Amino acid sequence: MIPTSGGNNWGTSRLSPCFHNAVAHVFVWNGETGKLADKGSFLARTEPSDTDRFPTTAAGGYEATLTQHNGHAALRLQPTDRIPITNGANPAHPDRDYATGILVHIAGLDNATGMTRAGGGISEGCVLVCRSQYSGFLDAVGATANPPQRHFGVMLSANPNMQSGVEKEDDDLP
Amino acid sequence: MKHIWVKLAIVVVWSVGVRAQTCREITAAAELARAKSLAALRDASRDAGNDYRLHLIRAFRSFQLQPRSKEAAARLLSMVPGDDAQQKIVLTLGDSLCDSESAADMKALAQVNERFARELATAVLIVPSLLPRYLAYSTIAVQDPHSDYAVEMERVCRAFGPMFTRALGELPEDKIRVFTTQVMKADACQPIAIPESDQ
Repeated sequence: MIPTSGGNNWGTSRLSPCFHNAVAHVFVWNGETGKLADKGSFLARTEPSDTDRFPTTAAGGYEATLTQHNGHAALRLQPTDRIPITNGANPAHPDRDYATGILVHIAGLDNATGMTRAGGGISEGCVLVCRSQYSGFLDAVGATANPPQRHFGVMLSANPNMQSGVEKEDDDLP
Repeated sequence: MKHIWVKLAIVVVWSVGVRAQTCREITAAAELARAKSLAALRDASRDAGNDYRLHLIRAFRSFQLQPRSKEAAARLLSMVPGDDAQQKIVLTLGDSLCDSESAADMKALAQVNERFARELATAVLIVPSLLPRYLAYSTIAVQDPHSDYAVEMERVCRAFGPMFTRALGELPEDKIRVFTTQVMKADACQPIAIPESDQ
């Protein structure tokens, strides 16, 4: 069951299918009320571009900070130097059982999630947000505010109804 | 499920308190990163403070403003992160680091992070004696999936040729192993660690 709390943005898209396997729930810390406010849920992909080469970020709750990725607003999962992964060892750095520098950021051009021509990945461990949902994601993180500082929480939920790599965003409209 | 929310809330509340202390330093750091001249950099440095982040950005900007200066190049190379705490500072330069940080300050500091690998590569070409230090940091830098350190290192490898291989051989054995399996195929100057990109 896909969660429906907060500002969901399951909008239709003319983009290529978004290959997702998870939902990223975004929360913002409200300094006045002392509570976490639910800002929305976004279709996401936790599986990297090549699972044999890169780590997969574990589902769960994270603190997060606003950052940028290739000029786009993104969230950095914390603690950024020790992000838990589902792999026993990090495929990119086999001497480690965690990942570093993991962001929640927009998927590649036309929702691409695979390897790039340069030989890297669209995701080398980062969580990708489907392109059709990115404007909602921007609203959720308040990236256009100045100053933009927000204190975030991100809950990554792997969704049992999502078969990784086979569904379109439109198929998941509640 | 509920205990996860409570834990998340505690962590966020704690971090709000910690970050509030660093705001003045972040503003000062952004001013250093934006300095248009060495004189402006000196002015901005006067009241900037003394922590690693500020030293790093001062050295970075100073080299950018005088890219042929051996002294500036050596100073920048001396600032490569020496431990996890310093690496974390480099990694998060583009993050929103304090409550009153403006979007412009975030952008100015993000550019330091984005251009760090390129400037270090340029710097080491001017100061070859610091090649071992430059090489040693590569195994740390590429742990960030967005790092273009290995890609920038390709021109260093090609420029130095056998000297590059000799300097690599001077690293501790475990560093050499990580370098040759995770950073670069040194014999071909071919980067292994390619950063994430959009396409």
